[in-house]
Amino acid sequence: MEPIFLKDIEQKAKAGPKGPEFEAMEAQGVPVPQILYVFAFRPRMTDHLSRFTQELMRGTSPLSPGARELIAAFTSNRKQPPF
Amino acid sequence: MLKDPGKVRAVLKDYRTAPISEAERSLFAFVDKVNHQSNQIRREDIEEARAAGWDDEALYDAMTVCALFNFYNRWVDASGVHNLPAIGYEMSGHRLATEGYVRAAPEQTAGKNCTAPQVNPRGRTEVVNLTPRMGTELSKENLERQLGLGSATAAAAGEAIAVSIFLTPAAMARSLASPA
Repeated sequence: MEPIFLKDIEQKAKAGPKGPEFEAMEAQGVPVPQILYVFAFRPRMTDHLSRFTQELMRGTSPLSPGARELIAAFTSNRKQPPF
Repeated sequence: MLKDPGKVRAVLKDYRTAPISEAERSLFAFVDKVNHQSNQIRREDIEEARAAGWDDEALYDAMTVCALFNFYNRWVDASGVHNLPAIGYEMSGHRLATEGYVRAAPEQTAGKNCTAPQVNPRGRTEVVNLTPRMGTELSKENLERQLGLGSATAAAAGEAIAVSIFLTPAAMARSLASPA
């Protein structure tokens, strides 16, 4: 995969504490989702983002997790779906 | 109830004509306005959604999900995160359904059962229950057996998997990681 636009961010993420995990994924033939680099670059900040997301998407709610995922997909759907 | 991927796709293509209940349509109309015209939301928009059966808590959660994924949209757009191959989204969807959004380091999960998502279903009846059916590998029964999940949790995980792997932009935004 082509590097992200912010190449320095990707490089620093790969050089940081999560580097071995990214290498292990690649060694197993698992494509590394590049958003992981955007997270790994600032872990103290993004830890909170992950926990916020987890609680929002999976915590107690009148909307099921699937409903919440569909709302998220609906929000992120900025182009005609390929299907 | 949405029980098939066709209905999920229909909602994503055009919620106004998708084969869903009017209550569900009202919820997506609300989310659509939050997504594209949030500064024009008025009390009447809330009252309309409430009249369709949604309480403030449901609207709060729907609105917050929409706001958060607007954040992720801009975050990945500006960073230049590229699309994954299809298998990447399947793997991400599976992980998100079984582990959730807070990712444990590999050595912490090696040899252990995957932890279930933190799903705490309320005692109340779901007004909306979106459960597209999935292929056999990711079926509720397989999840239940492989991961030792209770049936309610497996159903929720199945839903989450089903939606996660359909949508390229959303699945991309959901491939999240953080040290536990």
